Amino acid sequence: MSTAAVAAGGLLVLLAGHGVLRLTTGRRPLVAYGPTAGTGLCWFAGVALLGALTTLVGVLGGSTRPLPVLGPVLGLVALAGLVPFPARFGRPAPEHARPAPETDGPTRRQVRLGDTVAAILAVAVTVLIAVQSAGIPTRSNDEYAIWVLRARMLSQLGRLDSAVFADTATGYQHQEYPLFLPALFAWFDGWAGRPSDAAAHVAIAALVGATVTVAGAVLTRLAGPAPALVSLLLVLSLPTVLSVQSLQLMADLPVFGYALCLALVLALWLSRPDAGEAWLAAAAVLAAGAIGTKAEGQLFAGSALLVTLALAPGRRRGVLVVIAAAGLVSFLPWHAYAYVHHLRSWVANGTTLSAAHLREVLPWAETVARSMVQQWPGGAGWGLVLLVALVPAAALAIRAGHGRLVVFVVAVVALDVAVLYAQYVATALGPPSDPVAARLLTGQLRVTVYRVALVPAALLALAVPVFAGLGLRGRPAPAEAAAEPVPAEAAAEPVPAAPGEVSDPGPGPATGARGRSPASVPRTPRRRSPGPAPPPRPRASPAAAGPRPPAASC
Amino acid sequence: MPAGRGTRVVAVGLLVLAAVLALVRLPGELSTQSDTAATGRAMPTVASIPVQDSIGAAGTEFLALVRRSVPAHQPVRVVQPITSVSRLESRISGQPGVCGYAATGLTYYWLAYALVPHPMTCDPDARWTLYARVAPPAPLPPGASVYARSGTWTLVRR
Repeated sequence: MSTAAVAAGGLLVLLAGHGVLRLTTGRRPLVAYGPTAGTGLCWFAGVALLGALTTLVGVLGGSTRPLPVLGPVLGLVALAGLVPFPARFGRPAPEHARPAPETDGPTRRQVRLGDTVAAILAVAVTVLIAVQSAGIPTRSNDEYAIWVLRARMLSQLGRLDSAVFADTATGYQHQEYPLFLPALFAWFDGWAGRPSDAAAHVAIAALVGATVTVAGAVLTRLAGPAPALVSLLLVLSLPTVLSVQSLQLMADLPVFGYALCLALVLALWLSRPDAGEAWLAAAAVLAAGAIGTKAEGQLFAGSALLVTLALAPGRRRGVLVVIAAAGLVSFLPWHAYAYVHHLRSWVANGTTLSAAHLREVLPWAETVARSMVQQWPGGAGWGLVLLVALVPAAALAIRAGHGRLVVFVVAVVALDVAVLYAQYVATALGPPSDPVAARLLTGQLRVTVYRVALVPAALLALAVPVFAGLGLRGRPAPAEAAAEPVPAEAAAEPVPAAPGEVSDPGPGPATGARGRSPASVPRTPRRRSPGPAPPPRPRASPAAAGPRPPAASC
Repeated sequence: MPAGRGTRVVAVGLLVLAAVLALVRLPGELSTQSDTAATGRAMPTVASIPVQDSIGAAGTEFLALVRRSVPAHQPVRVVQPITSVSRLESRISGQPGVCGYAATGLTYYWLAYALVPHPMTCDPDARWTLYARVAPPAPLPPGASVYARSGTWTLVRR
């Protein structure tokens, strides 16, 4: 009974996530993103919605149990996402009126293959983690000191009890941390009818599975199925990801999932002008999830969005909307609560940022740098080989016309690493001459770098196969390349269908020779007009699409 | 423009290298995962509270009793042996040994978790006080009595 109830709770979260994406994009997520990425994004969105709602209700003094508020609201969102939109209320994006563009990206058959492989891998990883971890009780430090404790307080007390969440005298750890993950665990406690570590482990497993689906699907659309598969294997083989962290009820892996997928979705949107608004909606959901899960999520989301903003001239409005939406949903309610209750960040506060303190701890700079290299996830041995391989891989990608993607990855990694590095230096508890400060800093680096640096480490690792895959595809044909920059007018209106669009039937021939790229056809810049809704997009067929230039095939 | 032969060779080589790296590392990760999970699953529990080495079975049994005995949602004050104030301590003041201040932090966090859903309180007039490995004051404050005791663990009720 308990298992069935937990499964029902999970299904409701998934369907609510479906509703969020459906309502924000006006399109069915499984169609807009494909079934694989769509399912993963629905789970991410559902978890983010649950977290945001629990936070809001808790801050306002309401119940943090599934009833009477959370469950019904999630149910309503789920229902809203399932009902067919009446034509007059629907939001058919103008791209529906256009044939799906064919850029130099992978063929539909390749996309299907990549999606299928990612889905199989995701199911395998999810089941593996769930089976391995389901019988493990809460036992390690941050689990019992922070994440599970907060979850149990939400589920057992049924409210945001100020003694636990706001009274600093009681000595609870990291009261300033956001609530998305505790809210998820508490939700399943509520459905199980008792505290359930097993259900929490399944929730973590599902988040890892969602990471695999979204990352796999996006990487497939970016570079093709083979580089996507290799990238996924590299990420899963990062030290401690599966062996340790997947078995723990902590926020590092969930925030990693949200942040990595956010960076990849933004990379796709940035490097493919035909990527539609649906991917920006996905980015908003992922950014909200990263910010609401752990403090580091603010850094990872912020760096990816800022770099995107810098690299997307003419398309900045969409990115700004993403930033505003994510901040409003996930940052504002909790940080307002933290501000009112004087829950200060242990990283950036008046003490750590004072000039006197910074002068005192600056001599740690070299030690921190050395230690970060030593503790870097996968940094030793084979990791160095990957780092060296990154140079020729990046050169291949740049030669193939993907310089902006290379700049994106390098800039995001550099920003993440720089801020993490500065954080470690600033939070040292004394000068190097202080043996206690030295011991504490060494311990801090040893037990946290391998966890918090996962996002930049994974981006660096998967950059090798992705860049190599892009190099393998070669340069887009001149006509396509010429059409690639999107005019400012086009940026102000929805762009053509997402490259992940798989709703159109008819896989192309195995060779990928499938249709002349509309990008090679001169397009008249279109402006938004108040006229009637455009007719439904005619379904593209291989025959209608015509042969595809060899240059566009892989 | 299709990639040249040289480019393709380099690109395929990089892909294969990355795949080999992943496939070399993955079995070790999975093997360690299996071992870690087996160790975790083998952890004994008392009334659903895992037995931490530092607490022991008897201590865990007492914590389970405290959790059971204290009425729902009533807070508990925890008193521990006094240590020096940790450099990681963010509070600028507190009563030594109480609420984890100038006490072993990890043990305090574990006690706080094991006693959920009872919130911690630092109120000296709290109805329930758990003396964890430290003797309660003698004599007890007026109106207080020992509710339960096991070894060095004592629960006092007012």
